[in-house]
Amino acid sequence: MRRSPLGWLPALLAVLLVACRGGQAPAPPPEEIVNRAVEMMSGAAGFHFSIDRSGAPAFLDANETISFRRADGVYVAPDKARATVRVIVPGIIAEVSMVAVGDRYWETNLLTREWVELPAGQAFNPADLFSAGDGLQAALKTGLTGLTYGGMVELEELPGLPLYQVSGTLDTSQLFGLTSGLIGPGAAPVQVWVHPETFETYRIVITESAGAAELEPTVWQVDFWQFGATESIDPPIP
Amino acid sequence: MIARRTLLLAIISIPIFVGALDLTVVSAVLPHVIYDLEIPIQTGLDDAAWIVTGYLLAYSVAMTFMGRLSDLYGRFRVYLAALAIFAAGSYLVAVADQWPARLLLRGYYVFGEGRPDQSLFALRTLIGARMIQAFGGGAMVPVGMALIGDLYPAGHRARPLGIIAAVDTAGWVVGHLYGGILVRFFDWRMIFWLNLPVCLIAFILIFAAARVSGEARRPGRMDAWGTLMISGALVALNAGLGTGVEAGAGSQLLPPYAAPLVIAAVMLFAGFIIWERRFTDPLMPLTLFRQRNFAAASAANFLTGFSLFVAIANVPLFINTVSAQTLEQGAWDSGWMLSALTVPMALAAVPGGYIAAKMGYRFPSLLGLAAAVTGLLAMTRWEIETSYFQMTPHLLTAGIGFGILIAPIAAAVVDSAPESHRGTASALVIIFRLVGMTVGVSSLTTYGVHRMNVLSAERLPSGADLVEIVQVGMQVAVDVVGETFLIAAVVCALALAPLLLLRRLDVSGEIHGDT
Repeated sequence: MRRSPLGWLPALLAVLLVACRGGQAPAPPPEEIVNRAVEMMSGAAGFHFSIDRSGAPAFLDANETISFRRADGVYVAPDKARATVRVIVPGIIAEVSMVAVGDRYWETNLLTREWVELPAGQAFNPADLFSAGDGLQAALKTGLTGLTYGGMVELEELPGLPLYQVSGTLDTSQLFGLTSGLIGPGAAPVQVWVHPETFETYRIVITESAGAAELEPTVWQVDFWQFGATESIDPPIP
Repeated sequence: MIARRTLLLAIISIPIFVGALDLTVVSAVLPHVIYDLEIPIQTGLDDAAWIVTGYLLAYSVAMTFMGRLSDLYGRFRVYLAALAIFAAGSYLVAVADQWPARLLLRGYYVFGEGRPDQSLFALRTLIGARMIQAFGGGAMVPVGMALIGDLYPAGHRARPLGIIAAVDTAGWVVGHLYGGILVRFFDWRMIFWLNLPVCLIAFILIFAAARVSGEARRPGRMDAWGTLMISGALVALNAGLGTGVEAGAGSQLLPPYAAPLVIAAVMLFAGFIIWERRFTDPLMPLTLFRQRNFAAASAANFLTGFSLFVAIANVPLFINTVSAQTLEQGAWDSGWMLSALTVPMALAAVPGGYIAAKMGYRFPSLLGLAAAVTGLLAMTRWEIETSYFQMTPHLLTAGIGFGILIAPIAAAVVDSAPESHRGTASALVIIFRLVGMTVGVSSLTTYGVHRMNVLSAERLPSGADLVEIVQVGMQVAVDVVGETFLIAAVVCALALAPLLLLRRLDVSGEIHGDT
């Protein structure tokens, strides 16, 4: 008696299922994912980043006239950064370029785009934010609680690349100082996307709840790419 | 038969009006669009100007050859295709920062790395969509004129052709006001959404008319090389004059590639003229330019278009910089204030044409020129404190001047063309004015940004705070607007030379020395 060719199908499916499951290692605990991601970022010679704010405005000045919208730049360890910061002045969108080298910090004038050196600590400085010792990495390592693993998730921008997604709550008081008051202080829900093999952090999303005067939360999306990039960042020539 | 022709003229005119409306509709709402798309003022202003320039450019380019294309492929067919392109462009403009921008961004993610600036993708999509829209809108004018030319017998075409030219002018005359009013109550995208039902109804009606009338194709060849050369010349000229300079880029006036592009434009234009003289079915009958009146009036038309559009672009810029508290108010105020320029212009065209018919072209055109230059010179004195009440007489003077000026110029061009070329001549009136407008807005945007850079660097003290930056920036913007008004006045005054060459043409078509 001849066996039907379809008789092999359940066995074949079972083999394929086992093979597929066997090819993908189980995800480590969320704490380990975050720790390894932090270690990777702290040990990187440099990386590119973008910080995108949506929702309620986050102001850069005490008079609440200039609000942060977006920053794109590159960080080179241990203390250099170059970025273009997009700000919203009432009725106008403008860009400010900044360079940080060690303790020195330069920014371009809103109107003339001429470089001006400012005293350290007076403005938002990405070099401080991503500093390996006490920057965002340290905040993630010590301030992130209630971690849960959300599975393998693809970002819209990177189809076909599943990433670990971890959620938790971040104590943003450390970030408050690092961002000149843009983020925090307080507890905020955080989501982190991490590459399953390299443990490079692809994205961090921090959602700050709406304040009394705000109608919507402030959402910070921080993206990273090109880990290991070491670009030459020199003081600008005024 | 007469009623059917009149009905068809009305149906064809409506999309032409909407297409022309969109020429100037963004001048009042541009600051709103720039803010909404988050275009940074320093690096993106030059790109954002292409929302206006790109439309003018594609509109002019389409006008140069789509009429000829309709000779070969059928008037209704090409008109309907142009209408569909305009509608598709309108839709794409309305959704430019949504799925089309995301689609482009996805394409970038496949090949590129990092997180590019999404607002620049949205802006580029918007500019591309505006150019698609303009191509359709511009094509409708010569094809519509040719269609009407086919419907009316020789000797009865001047009036309907004049109506289409007037409808086109009326569209861009009220475009800014329409935009300003709509933005007061709706999102700026509504301007473009509203085009769609108008286009759909017009499409159905014209499609039905086409089925009744049938299509006549004419023998001949499409002047592909001529089309490429004139389109290339216009694109290269505007790209050379109007791109690449960013606010805060120091004292550099033009990027290094500007001069080669302008040279390429001149060479392509020279090549176009040589080619057209040899080609049996040329796009443009160059013999028309042998007529003194035709050549002189076309030159004056170019210069008038240049200076007129500077006024149309500068008024919203001035109001948004100096007096508007919100973007909505800026669009609203700009729309109404520009009406003080454009409505008198439209009204003054009537006596301008009447005087030209009675006294010849030269007297009314010189009278109009004097008033337009006087108005523009008065605008150079606008300051931060200048009120709308003080601005109004200046705008009225310039508007009346331009109105009296453009009517005899247009009449001189059309009257000097033989009956067989009246349609082409009517289209050329619009083309020369549009090319003048395009060159004006692109070159003076570049000049304005350059002067902003130079004056800001000179006047802003180091370590200035935000209040000082805003105050200095506002004064610099006002001074630069004044400078560009002065340039517009000088360019307008240059029209004196060709206008003095105009000669009187009597009803029989004979030329007499003008008095």
